[in-house]
Order: sequence, then C-alpha cells, then structure tokens
Amino acid sequence: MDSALKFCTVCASNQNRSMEAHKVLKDAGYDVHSFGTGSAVRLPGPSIDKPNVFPFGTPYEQIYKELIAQDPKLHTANGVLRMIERNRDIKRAPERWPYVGQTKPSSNSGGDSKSRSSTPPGSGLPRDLDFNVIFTCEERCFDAVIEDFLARNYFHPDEGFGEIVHVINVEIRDDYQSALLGGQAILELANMLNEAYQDSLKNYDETSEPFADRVTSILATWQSKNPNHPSLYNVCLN
Amino acid sequence: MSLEQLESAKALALQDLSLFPPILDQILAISTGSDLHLTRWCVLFLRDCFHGKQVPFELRYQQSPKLLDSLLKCLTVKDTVVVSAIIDITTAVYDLVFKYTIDYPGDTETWSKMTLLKSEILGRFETADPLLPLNRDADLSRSIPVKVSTLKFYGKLLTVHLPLIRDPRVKENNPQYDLDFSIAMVPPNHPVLWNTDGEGENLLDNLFEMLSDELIQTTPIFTVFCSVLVQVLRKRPKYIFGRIFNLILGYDSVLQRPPVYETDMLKVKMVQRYNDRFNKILISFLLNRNFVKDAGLKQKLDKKFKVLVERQRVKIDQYSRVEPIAHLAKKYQGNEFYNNSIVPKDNTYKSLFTLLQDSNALAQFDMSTLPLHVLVDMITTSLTTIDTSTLIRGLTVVADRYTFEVAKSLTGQTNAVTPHQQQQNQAVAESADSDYEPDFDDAEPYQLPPPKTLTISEKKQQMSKIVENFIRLSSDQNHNHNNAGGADDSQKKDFENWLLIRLITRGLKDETLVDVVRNCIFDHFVQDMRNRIDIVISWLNEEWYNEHLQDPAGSFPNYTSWTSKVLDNFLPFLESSDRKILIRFVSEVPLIDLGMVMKLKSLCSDPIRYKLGFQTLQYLIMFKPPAKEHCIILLETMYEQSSDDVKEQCLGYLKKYSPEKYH
Repeated sequence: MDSALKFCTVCASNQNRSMEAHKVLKDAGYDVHSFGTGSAVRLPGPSIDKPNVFPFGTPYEQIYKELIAQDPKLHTANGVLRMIERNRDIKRAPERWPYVGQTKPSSNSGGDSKSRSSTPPGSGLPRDLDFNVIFTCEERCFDAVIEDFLARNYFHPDEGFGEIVHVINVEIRDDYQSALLGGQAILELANMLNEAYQDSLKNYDETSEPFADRVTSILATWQSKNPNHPSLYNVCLN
Repeated sequence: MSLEQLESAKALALQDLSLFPPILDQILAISTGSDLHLTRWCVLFLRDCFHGKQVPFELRYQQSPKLLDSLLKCLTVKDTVVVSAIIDITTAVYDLVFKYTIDYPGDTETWSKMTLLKSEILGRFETADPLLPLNRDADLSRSIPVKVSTLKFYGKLLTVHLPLIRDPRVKENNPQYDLDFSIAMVPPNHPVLWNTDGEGENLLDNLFEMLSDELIQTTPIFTVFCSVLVQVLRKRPKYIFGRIFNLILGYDSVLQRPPVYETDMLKVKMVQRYNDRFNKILISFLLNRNFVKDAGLKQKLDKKFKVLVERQRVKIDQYSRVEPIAHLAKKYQGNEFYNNSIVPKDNTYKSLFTLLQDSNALAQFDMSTLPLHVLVDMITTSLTTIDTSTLIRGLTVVADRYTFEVAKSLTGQTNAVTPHQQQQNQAVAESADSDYEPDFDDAEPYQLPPPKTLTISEKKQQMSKIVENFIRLSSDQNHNHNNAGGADDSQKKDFENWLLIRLITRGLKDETLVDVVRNCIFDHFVQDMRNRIDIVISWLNEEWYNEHLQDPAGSFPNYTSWTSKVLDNFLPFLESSDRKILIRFVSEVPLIDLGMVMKLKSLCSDPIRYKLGFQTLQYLIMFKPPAKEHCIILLETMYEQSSDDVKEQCLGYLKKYSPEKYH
C-alpha cells in the first residue's frame, strides 16, 4: 500500500491497547507506529498498590525476562506475558510520545523508528510525527496528544508544513479482552478512512471531495456501529 | 516534460543552488500548463522549496516576487491539492515579499500583485472553492484542506500586519526576531506600504467575525482556527491573548445551530462534543503552561473547564438536544434548498434541476418510471400546495444555472466561473497588471470564420437526409390527421408533395442532387405502392412537363426512364384486384410509349393476372389513342409467340380493334 494513510496508535504505556491496534493495523498492511503518553510503562505487579514500572525504551524482551523472574505464574495468569510476547514480535521497546521540549530518547529506545526517520533536509525539528491519522485509546491520551501539538504550534510556530493530522480517540478499557475488541474497532475505522482516502486520490476535479471533508461523516457512521467506543476527534497542525 | 525529468531537475536545483533560479523559472512556466498532474507536481515542489529551510533564506527572498503570477493563475485550478498548496506557498512567501517591498520601495507592481493574491484567497474562505458550491452552511465545511491553508495564511497575515513588540528581556540578536518581518519595520512615508497600519486588527476582526457565526464550525475548521491563534499568540501576544480568552470563555457548541440540511443528528452531537473537548484541552494547555497570571481570569477558566468536563461525561447520543430539522428549515427560510449552487454539476437535466443533496434517496429515484397520470397528479398537487415564493426561489436557482450553462457554451469555456469569480476576474482585469488584460483588439470587429464548403458527396448525404425527413414528417402528419381527415389536410399534403416534386424538376440545377431526391421519392413509393401512387403520378407528370418545356419536340429521357423503373417495380407486385390502381396509373401519366406497353406482356401471360393485363390494354386502346398502336403491336407479338389460351384472347382483341388485319 504505497499511498495508504499513515497511522499511529497511542495509549498510556504502549503495551496493551496501542500495541494490539498496532498489530492489527500492521497485519492489515498499513504503515503504523505506536507510542505511550504516560510517564513510564506500568504493568500489574504482585499487588494492586505495587505495579511494575519500567522506563520507556526498556526492550520488551527485557521486561519479559524480569517478569518471568518475578512470578511466572502470576504473569501468565493475568495475561501479561502473553501480551509482551505479542509485543516483542512487533517492535523492540515501548516508546514514549515525543513531547516537545522533552529530551530525545536515546536511539535504542524505539523499535522500527529507522524506517520512519524521514527528516526533510532543512526543517528544524525532525518530522517525527509524520502521520495522517493518530488513534488514541483513552481520553487522557487524546488530551495529552492534542496539548502537545498545541505546544508545538506555540513554541515552534514556523516549523513544519502545518500538515493536517487527524487525531481520533477510540475509547478502550485497559484489559486484554477489551484491547482485542478495540483493535478490531480501530481497524474497521482505519479501513473506512483509508477507503475514503484512496477514493479521494482517484479524481481531481471540482466535484471530488477531499479526504479531510469526509472524516467527520465517516466517524459518525462508524460511531453508530460502535457505540461502546465513544470517540473524540480534533485536527492538529504538524 | 515528464515527471521523471522534473524530478531530476528538482534534484539538480537543490544540489547546486546556482541552478535553482533558472530551474525555478522553467518550473513556474510548466506550472501554469493544462496538465493537472504537472501542475500538482510543480506547486508541491514550490511548496517544499519555499516552506522550510531547504533553500537558503537569501535565495528564497530574491526569488519570491517572480512566483506571484503563477500563483495567481494556479489559484483558479479546480483541484483542492493545487489550491491549498498555492495558499501554503503564498503563506511562505508573504513576509518575504513584504520585506522585499520594504527594501525596494520603487517596485509597486510586486506588492499590488501580492495584495490581489491575498484578496483572492481570503475572498474564497466562505465558499467551497475549488469544489462546486452547494449551500452556505454546507460549503463552510467543504474544501477543508483549502480552508486549513487559508487559516494558516491568516496566521501569517496577522504576524506581518501586527507589529512585533520586542521583549526587553530577550537579547537583541535573538534569531527569533531576525526573520520576524512586520509592519514595525516599515519606515514612515514608505510609498507602497504607508497605509498598512490597522490592517492587522481588521484582519483579526474579520477572522473572528467569520468564525463566531451562529452556525457550528466543523471540528477540523474550529480546531485548526484555534491552533493558528496559538501559533500567533507566541509572536503577537499583546493582540491575541485577550481574543483567545474571550473565545474560550464565550464558546458554547450547544448554543450553536447545526447546518440547515444536516439530517444526521448523531454527527451534529459528535461535532459539538469534539469542539467542546478541544476547548477544554485549550484551557488546560493555557493553565498548565502558566499563561494566565490574572487570578480572576484563572477562576473563570477553571469554572468553564469544570462545566466542559461535566458535559463530556454524558453519552454522545444524549450530548445535547438539537432542534428538529423541520423547525430549523422554517427558521432559516430564504435558503431552503440544499443544493442552491448556480453551477450545475454536469451537463444533465438532472443536475440542471436538482435542489437535493446527492445522498438524498429521492435524488436517486427515477421519476420517469412512474406512469404519466401519477406524475401529473403529483405535479398538480404540489403546485397547488407549494408556497409561491419558494417555487420562485427554486425556479430562480434553475434559471441561473441555465443562464450559466448558456453563457458557458457561448464562451466555450470549460472552466466554470461563478459570479463571485466573475467579480474577482473583473477586479483582476481592472487592476494595473497588464498580464491579466484579455488578449484581443477592440478596433477590429470580430467575425465568425467562413463556413466550410461541402463536397458533392456531403451535399448528397445532406440532401437525402433533408428529403427523408421531409417525407417522414409529411407522412406522419397525414397519418395523424387521417381520422380527422379534412380538406385542409389533403391540401396540405398535396402542397408538400408538390414542393418536393418541384424541387426535383425545377428547384435543383445539379443533376446528381436531383437524382438523390428522385431516389428518395421512389424509395418512399416502393415502401407502400398501393397508397402512394398519387405522389408518383404527380412526380412523373412534372418530369414530363419539365422536359416538354425545355424541348417540346424532343424526347423525354428522364420521364421515360423513371416511368419504366416505376412500372418494373410496380407490375410484379400487382394482384388481380389492383385493376383500378394500374388503370389509374396508365391513364394519368402523360405519355405511354411502346417500351412501357411491352412491360404489360408479363401480366397478360400470367395465368392468374392475365385479366388485369388485357383490361389495361383494352382501356388504353379505348381511352388513350396515342397508345393504341403500341397496344396492337403487343397483342400481335403475343398472338404470334404465345400458347393457345393467350393466343385466343389476343385474337379476340385484335379482331375487335384491328379489324382491317384480323377478321
């Protein structure tokens, strides 16, 4: 899919919801990247008040090993190990949303970021958010992403092209089963959006609606079929 | 030039910047061509070069004035990608051209082009351009990429036309200031830019006026509008700060009305929720980053924030009560058709007349499948119940489209021009820029080129079409009027036939064309010989008379050959009961020669139709004396050659009419 939309999925820890959505979109052939907006990766621990906390950039493999060492029974029973096994096949490590002003994470943090370092020569900031559509999986993450774009607009008003980025929240509960369902809902929406996008590329004349004109209606159609994932949608300038 | 060649030229220009200006010139020339793919490539190239730092500032600064002509031209391309890229480029070069005009006060032309370009772009903001217009409400949420680019352009305009106020805490040679060109730099008495004071605040007023409409903005427009304000906030805090807070505090999506024709209420509620969410995020952005020092303002923002958070808790489908659509339609009368565009979508009657949204189920329904009486009932019922002024408004839309189409076909233009653009074009024509003067000479009156002369075969083709049509119309009329059957009809029929016949004999000089008409009449006759004998008789009489006029003593070649042809085609199909027709024919044609009489031989020797033949011969002998001799010859021939039955018949006639030889 050469001219398909570029997607990004975002949740809090870049472990469960964003990674499940990352997987289904990737399996469907899309160009996709994923991030977490939290301050660190939080996973269930031995008790509810003792979560396991890892810094972003810790490879999934390493997290896996540490959890197995900690309590293989518990982490198998709660599905966490199965989740991390899935993740490590997709990319190397959970990545934090690249907040503006935050020091760039070291190069070993991300997974397949090599393929995406398409920094156009001359532009000041790396074009690290070069996506058409960003799916967030929780309202808190949506707010964080929008607020970060506003901060980019404020602090670097002359950077970038001011490209349109569609940011869409698909609310998903943070458990393994919900993430599976949520991933399918995101895939359905992504397919609808991509179909409209491809259609908008076919004709250029005064009657063919551009992609951006179609997004709100697509969301309304999708929402009526998926009432369990209340949506949010804003457009940002990158 | 192909896209591959352009790509290599681009690589070359960016590799060796000394080549950039000449390659730029070439690409500008190509950009205004008719190939949309090339135009797209060129404007995207320009956007890449002038946006960002790929090309050094000095080079962009020098080259930017030469872009303006191409930008103006490409702005009329009917493609959202091209138009939004053009606006992005204009945004990128606006401050460069502004700086250039400050530096070169003698160059008035460049700035006037830029001013024109600016008004062209801003004038389109509330339209759907480059898409075809539908209605105001819908158009405000269409062509979103173009509107987003226009909002970004507003951001640049505000930066340039609102003065930079230096923060005394920031060092003098801060790079943030180096490239910030604004009216603060314009020297007093600058010959071109002297009157740009106050323009920034006017722009700001216009922008807020447009967006503080009672109609809810679609989410992309609302959020991009606020994002652009946030961009300008950093550079011109003094002017933007207060506006942003008033916007945030005053904004209430629930108080805004949905577009008149929006039928999807879920969508409306979603847009309200999305916009409120953005407003909430904007508040937290401003509060979190300590933009707000004033305690009173902080309190107000906190309060608004809580209201919005509370509102977001409800489910989407209960988000707010939206007025039912019927009520809205009444409320906003005067604009009650979804599609009141004066530009039809294509050349069909459907798009000429439709006032419906494309997705409306009615628009897909083919009315012609209904029986006529149902349609008539529907139309009469509608006409008696419809409000007259509504009907007139609807008809006015259709009439405008019709006028538009007619104007378009007269000027042969393929690009649709709306009245709005017409005004703009007028403005273009009136401006001082001679490049946009239409290219023609007033002194010489325009003349149509002379028509091409037809070749003889084309003439023949046309002639046979005309005559066929003539005959068809004439026989249709006769057919339709058969029942009524008055004297008028038969006279009219005679007159039409007579016209044709006269055309053959005396109307046309060219013999080949005459033959075309003759063949047409002949074919017409052959299709229904029994009922069309009249026209053939009149025709052959005229043929004879015409040849008689030309040479009374001469022969009648046309008459003879066509009469023989008629007989050849006629006789084999006659039946015994056709006596009257055959006798009428031989009696009414002016001349019967031996050749014609001899053709009756086939009838006379036919075992079934022989009576028909002999009765005709008897008639000729008795009532057409000039033919008597020919008939005797035929009888004699048959008497000598034929078998017993025929021989006997012939002998009977010969005894009676040639008693001197046979007795």
